[in-house]
Amino acid sequence: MSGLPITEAMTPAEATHESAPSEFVLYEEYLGVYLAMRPGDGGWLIETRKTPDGEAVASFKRPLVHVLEWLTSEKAAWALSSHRDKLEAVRAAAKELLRSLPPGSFIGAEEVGAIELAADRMQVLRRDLDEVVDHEGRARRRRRVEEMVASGEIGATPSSRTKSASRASRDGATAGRCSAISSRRGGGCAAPSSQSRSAKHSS
Amino acid sequence: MERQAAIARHHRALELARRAALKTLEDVPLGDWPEVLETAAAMYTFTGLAREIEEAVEVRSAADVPLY
Repeated sequence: MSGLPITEAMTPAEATHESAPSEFVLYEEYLGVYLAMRPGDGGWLIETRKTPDGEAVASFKRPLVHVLEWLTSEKAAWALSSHRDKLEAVRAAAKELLRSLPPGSFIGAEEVGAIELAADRMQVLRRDLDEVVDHEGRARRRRRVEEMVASGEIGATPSSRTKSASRASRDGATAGRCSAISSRRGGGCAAPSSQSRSAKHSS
Repeated sequence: MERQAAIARHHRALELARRAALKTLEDVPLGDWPEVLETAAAMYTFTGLAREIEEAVEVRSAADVPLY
């Protein structure tokens, strides 16, 4: 498993130089097995394993649209993957599905629904990823300020007024993006799932 | 004939939308994806067009069926 959990010192700019995960592993609760998924020609190759890095118990191929629905479903327990991996998995699946569609031809409702789900999911995952990176960045800055205070370089920490002002500004920007999407789609803004929220803490 | 031409134009628009969505999905470097909202918007454009075509085809099919 080449999962790259979001840890401190990982910024989006640094992340661009990393290679794409070769496979995405998730835990399928209903079956009670780990699934290692890899994009392949015309579908995804899937291995079932008893442990995340164990030997394959079985392997099979699933159509792109089914994999995309799987990856975007709430049932998929992403205990092993970082937010970044989840985002990349959905992106890889959506990309393969879009590429597989015959150019300019009729597209079935199943594919349309799967692509919309992927777009919804990507936005939620990106927001979760932003929150993790932002949280780590703030923790680093806080530690740096404490070090500077301890060493006498500066006299005090930033005021709470400044912190709350920047927080309000950030929340306002998020609300603006959310409303732009919801107005375009004629619906509400997707809320992050409880599953992805809990996974965030484990990442 | 007019309807067929309109659907053909729609199919061309659909193909352009598909390429645009694919491009946004492919172009962004790994792990650095602040443009995810734009990517999602391109995907919604594509699926919106696909639904419109589906509806147009259904309407045409319904018109072709004789009503007794």
